Amino acid sequence: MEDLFKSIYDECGSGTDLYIAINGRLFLSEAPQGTEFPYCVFFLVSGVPIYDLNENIPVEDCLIQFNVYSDKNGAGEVTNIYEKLIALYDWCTLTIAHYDHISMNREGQMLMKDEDNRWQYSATYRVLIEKT
Amino acid sequence: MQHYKWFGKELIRELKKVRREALRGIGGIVKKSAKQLCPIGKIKRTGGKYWKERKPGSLQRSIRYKVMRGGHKVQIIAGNKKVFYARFVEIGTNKTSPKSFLRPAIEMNKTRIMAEFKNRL
Repeated sequence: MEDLFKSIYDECGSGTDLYIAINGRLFLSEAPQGTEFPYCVFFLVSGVPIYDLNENIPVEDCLIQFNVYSDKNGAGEVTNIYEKLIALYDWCTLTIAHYDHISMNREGQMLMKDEDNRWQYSATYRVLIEKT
Repeated sequence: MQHYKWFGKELIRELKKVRREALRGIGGIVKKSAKQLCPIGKIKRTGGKYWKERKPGSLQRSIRYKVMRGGHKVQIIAGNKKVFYARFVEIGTNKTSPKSFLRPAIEMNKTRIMAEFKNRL
């Protein structure tokens, strides 16, 4: 899984629109204390192996969620970053060490305000990877 | 001339009953798994407004399933009026990292769900 996280992180390289919009603040699982807004966090919701007849694990079925946070009053900033996020990751081809990437498709999205009245945009992706 | 009796209505009624039972079975599988995965807090807080009260395990106890009217789908539900924070636990917030329990419960039991459906139908 470490390779998958690394490839997701690498996909958001310094030249991309998403990187510029969030100023490189893309974190795995949780953001450090006191991180400036806006920022993005991604984490593994679930990872299920799909076994073949020989009981090997050739394919991993992973659910990855991205959360974009913004402290602005309006939802403009968070939706703008979300647009850049989906432009980057929808059906993208990840380069993952020890795995072949099969697909990365978006399965759901949700815009809401969290407990601190900050905007949060969540997108869930299903990533299928095959062990080489 | 032969006469055939058509039991279509009875057949459809029976199929609907079986489908509803299958959905109940699926709901039970996911509910059980979600309850196992659900985090349990340690803080107990009583008094004051009801939304400020906390009892360890209340989120876990709030997990339930409901077969929708028509018997076409089953909903797995977590949280209620008091346990409003279910979505914060599932999705995460800017202060707390997520501890998803509903989606993993479905993902982990996909094969069991399919088997349950096949067995019942």
